[in-house]
Amino acid sequence: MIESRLTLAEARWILQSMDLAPAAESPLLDPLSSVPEVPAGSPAEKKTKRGLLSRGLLTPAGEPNPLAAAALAWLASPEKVWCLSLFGPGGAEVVHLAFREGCAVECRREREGFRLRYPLPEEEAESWLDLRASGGVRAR
Amino acid sequence: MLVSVPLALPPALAKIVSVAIMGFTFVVVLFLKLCYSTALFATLAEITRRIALFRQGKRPAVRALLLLPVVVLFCSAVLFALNLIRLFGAGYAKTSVFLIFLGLRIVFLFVAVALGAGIGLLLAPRIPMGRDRFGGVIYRNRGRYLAFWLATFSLCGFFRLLPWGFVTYWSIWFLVLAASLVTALHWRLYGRYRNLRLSVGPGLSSGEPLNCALSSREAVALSVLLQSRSPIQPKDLVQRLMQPDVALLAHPGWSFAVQVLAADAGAPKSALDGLVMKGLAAGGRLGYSAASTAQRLASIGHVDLAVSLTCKEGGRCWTRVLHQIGSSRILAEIGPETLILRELSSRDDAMAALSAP
Repeated sequence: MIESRLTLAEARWILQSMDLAPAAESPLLDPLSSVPEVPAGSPAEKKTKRGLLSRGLLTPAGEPNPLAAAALAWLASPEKVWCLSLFGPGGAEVVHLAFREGCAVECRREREGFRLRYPLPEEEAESWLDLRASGGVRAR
Repeated sequence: MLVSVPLALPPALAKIVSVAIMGFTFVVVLFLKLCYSTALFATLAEITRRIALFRQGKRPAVRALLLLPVVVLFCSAVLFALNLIRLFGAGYAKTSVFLIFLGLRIVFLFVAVALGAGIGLLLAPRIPMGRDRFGGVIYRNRGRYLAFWLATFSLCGFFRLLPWGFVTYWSIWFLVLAASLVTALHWRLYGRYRNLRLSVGPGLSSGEPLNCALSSREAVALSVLLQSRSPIQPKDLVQRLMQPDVALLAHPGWSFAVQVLAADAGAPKSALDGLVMKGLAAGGRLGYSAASTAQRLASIGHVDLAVSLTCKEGGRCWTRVLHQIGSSRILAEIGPETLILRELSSRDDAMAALSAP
């Protein structure tokens, strides 16, 4: 399973580059609606690309990493969504799991953006749930 | 025979060496004093910040708080050591009167430590601490002792700026007392906090497994029955509508159900009769009271872990909550108008029950 952290601007740019509307009817990507569009060729786009390249999320051709792009596409239009909230001694935690085409992507909202884990086979979702329930949303 | 001969420096060179040593000592002492003052005022700022956090109702990290008084005690010890070096260096320590005076000062400092620690240990049990319904620790503390500490720091900082030596000692003494008090208090508080965090709830009392489907009005009525020690008449139900039982009986229709029960004269009796029919309440001459099955819900102290899963698939959406209470597990299915509670046995797969469509 791959884990990626994306800032709001990076997520917005990846969705833009795939011609997907930023929030694309998915409440999971609602925070992106407040992020301004990243104009092509602008210094903001260069900075975003540099950040993605340094973390291996950009191909040499300047395209977003196909898996990261697919994960965002799943989040943008999921077939099924699980919203898991844990309330315990450590406080409250929330994590989402978006399903599409037999796979799932885990999405956790962070202060600066998203933390994504993907791909998770749909048949392993129940064991994922078990792991999260016993070890918190940060459990691996 | 070997005879040691003192190194005789020319007077001019001796003067230069002496001035250089004095200058170096002055710089070192100045640096240490600056370190102390910085640590003192940084701690003062940190205490002020924590008081602001208390006022906002935020729970501080108790372990982090424990570090602060330790820093103050350390800084005070450094200051005291510096004073000793200064006094011995100046030759005051050669007289026996001074040695007695110094001994008394040291003894008084230990008295401050013992007195502060004693007061702190006595005060700690008076600060209420308990578990909330979701297993979090409630630390009901208005931070008055921190305000006391802040005042002590301010006083000490003020007298540190003044040239009166006799006041400096007693302000430091008072500071050591306050730091010892806060250290001992936090040590006890942290112990209680850790014990609470590690404790596991006793779980539901033994009895018939719970399995019921309630309407939102019945859930409200049951919550009132569980919080009441005496039987309730339908007309009294409205007056006793209280906050929802957030652990198990809360549901989205709570406020609306309360409004309906308060507005419709027949609604309370209908809700209570519904509970009687489901075996969750018993009606008598004196009024309605919770049946033994429902009384098991009242035995819950706190929920160790609550796992809520909301599933959205196609046009459907459902929410289930798994409550872990000691060794017992209750699955709640929460709808806009209904609340289904089911106690899971040890053989049931909780995760499958939580995620099943």
